[in-house]
Formats: sequence, structure tokens, C-alpha cells
Amino acid sequence: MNLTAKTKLIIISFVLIIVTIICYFIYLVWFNPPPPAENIPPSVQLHESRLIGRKDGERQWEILTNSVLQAEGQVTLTEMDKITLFQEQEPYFLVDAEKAIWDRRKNNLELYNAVIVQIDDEFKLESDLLILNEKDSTLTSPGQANIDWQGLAIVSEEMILEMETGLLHLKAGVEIKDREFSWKMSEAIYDLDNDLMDFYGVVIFETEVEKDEQ
Amino acid sequence: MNNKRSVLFILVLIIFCSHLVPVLAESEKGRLEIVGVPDDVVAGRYDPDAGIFYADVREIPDALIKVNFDDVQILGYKMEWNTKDNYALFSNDAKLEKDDFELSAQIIEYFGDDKKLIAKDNVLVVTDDAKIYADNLDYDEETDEALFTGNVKVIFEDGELEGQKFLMLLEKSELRFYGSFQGEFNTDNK
Repeated sequence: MNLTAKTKLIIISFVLIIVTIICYFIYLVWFNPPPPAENIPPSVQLHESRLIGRKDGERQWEILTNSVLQAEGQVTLTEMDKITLFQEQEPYFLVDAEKAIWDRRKNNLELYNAVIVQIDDEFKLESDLLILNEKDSTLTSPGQANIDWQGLAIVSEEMILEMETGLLHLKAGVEIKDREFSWKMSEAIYDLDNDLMDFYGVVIFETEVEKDEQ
Repeated sequence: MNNKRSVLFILVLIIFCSHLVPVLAESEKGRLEIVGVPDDVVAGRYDPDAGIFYADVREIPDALIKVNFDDVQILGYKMEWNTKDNYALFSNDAKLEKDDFELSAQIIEYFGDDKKLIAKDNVLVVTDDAKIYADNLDYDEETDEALFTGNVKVIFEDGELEGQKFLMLLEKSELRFYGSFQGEFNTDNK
């Protein structure tokens, strides 16, 4: 077939364009990572992991989880199997939580919809949000906390547990039910180790049993 | 003591007894309040294991411990309450008030399980008609007996009686005097 020079030039140009396009797509697919999804920051996701938080080399908490997502200095944990809080290297609390966020810069572990149970004891703590601060070894509930402890049912609008001293600070709207008795006060500090409570401010105590009911 | 004065005396004590009995009998339902304590000051301490509550507000200005059983009120500045033994101790100028009578003493103790009330030191019972002073008052809810001992003095509007011990059998409306009693009455306007 006799082709004119002009026709040859057109064919060669067309082939070059096709090859260039193919090379570009190959480059896009093979050599470029997929761009991050919109509104999702660069992250690392792990599955079936064990995370351990330490302070001065001592284990503070340990989490077995099925999903770990790290983004911008925060580690988000979901589908958690087991959360253990340690005191003096020994397991002290077991935690059931819907979600946990570990802020690595602040060294805070936030536990959402959490239930904490003390191992081999009768302590149970429930809160929508608990913050474990490793710097000062405190467990804080900025919202309402419900506590069961050796037969006492305690409700407080805010709570701070000092892990090292065993002091439980109950702040604002404190109500304690002990058998048929009910205590109400603005603030209380419960020394868990010595089993003593100091009541602050105005205190109201009520019995719920009348003589005829006894 | 002549018959007229004896009758008056008995009537006065029966009036007192009629107030005292319901106070002691209804003391198992109540409300305790510690008022006037700033939020940053400890008002009391509770030992949940022992069931003991202790409060001392003597050093806190305007603070007061109030215990209410229906229409009965106990006021004090220092108290200890064993909730398991149902025992309460009020010390340092404790007062028990109900309607038209008042009991005050340095110490008022209530033994709920034994159904007994003891008032000690500077016991004073004030009714509309008389004042009764004694060192001690023991009341037994089961037997309905009130025993005043030690420097007992009953002061009426127009006279007084003094002795060391007398027992009121409330249910029977009887009074038993032990030892000698001395009485003086002003009969000028009678």
C-alpha cells in the first residue's frame, strides 16, 4: 500500500497519542497511590491489635481491639474485645466501652459509653464519657457518673477518681443510697482505701422506711 | 403538799407526758439536714462499712444540724449516728422541740433498737405550764417510763418541787417519788 507522506505522518502521530495516553493511565494506576478520600485525613488503619499504654515504663492500660484508626495524633479504637486498666502493674479494672480515643500528645484515653468493673471487688462505674489521664493518674467523668460500691449506689454529676491515692471526688448533685437511707449533698470525697466519706456543704439525709414497715 | 397542789402537779406532768410519748414513738422515719455549711467545708464524715455518720459543725458560723421526725425536731451542733444499730448521739447543747414543749441537754442519746432515749447533763424540759430540771432523763419506749434523776426540780408558775429521783409511768399516768421531795408554793392569790 502506497501512503503519502502526509498520511504516514498522521498515522504515526495518532499511534504516539494512543501510546502516550496508555502510558499515562499505567502511570496513574501503578505508580501513584490513590488520593485520600474527601474529608478523611491521612491515616493508618490496623486490625486485630493490642495497644499498651505505659507511664515511666509501667503498664497503665491494655486494649485488645479489632479496629485501630490513627489520624492526626489521635488513635480511635472500636470493636474492642478487652480493656484492662492496671495499678502497680497488676490488672485493676476491666472496661467495657463502645469506643476509645487515645490522644497521644495529651496522653489521654477517652472511653465512650463505658462500664468499669473492679477486678475481685464490688466497684462498678458507668459513664457516657470517661477520661483516663496518665500524667496525673486520674479517671474523670465530666458528665454524670453512676457508681455501685459495696452496696452503695452513688450518682454524681461529675466525678474524678485519683488512681494513686484512691480518692473519689464526687462533684455537684451527689446522691448516695445506702440500704434504706439516702444522702444528698453538693460534694463528697470518698476515700476508697479507708472506706470513709467526707461530705461537703449542705447535707440532707432521709430514711425511706417507716416504723410500720420494719 | 396539799391535795390541790398535788393534783395540779400531776396534771402538769401528764400534759408533759402526753407530748413526750408520741415524740419518741415516731422517731424511726426522718430527715437530717446540716445547714449553713459552705460548699468547701466538710460538714460530716460517713463510714459506710460501719454505718456511722459523724458531724461536728461547732466551728462553722451559722451551721446547724437539724433532725426532723414529722413534727419533732432535734437541733444540735455535734452528732454521731450509727445507722446499723439505730443509735444517735447529740452533744453540745442539743435540743428536742415539739409543738409546745422543748427538751434540752448537753447530751441526748437515742437507742432505736432498744427504744430508749437518754438525756444527760443540764436536762431541761419546758412546757407551757412548767419547767423540769434534772441531771438525767431516761425514757423507755417499751415500758413507757420516764425517769428523772439527780437534782430534779419542777418549777410551776407559783411554786416548785425538788428531789433526787422520780419515775413517771406514762401509760398508767402514775408518778413515783423516791426519797424526799421538798415543795414550796405561793398560795397568796389562791
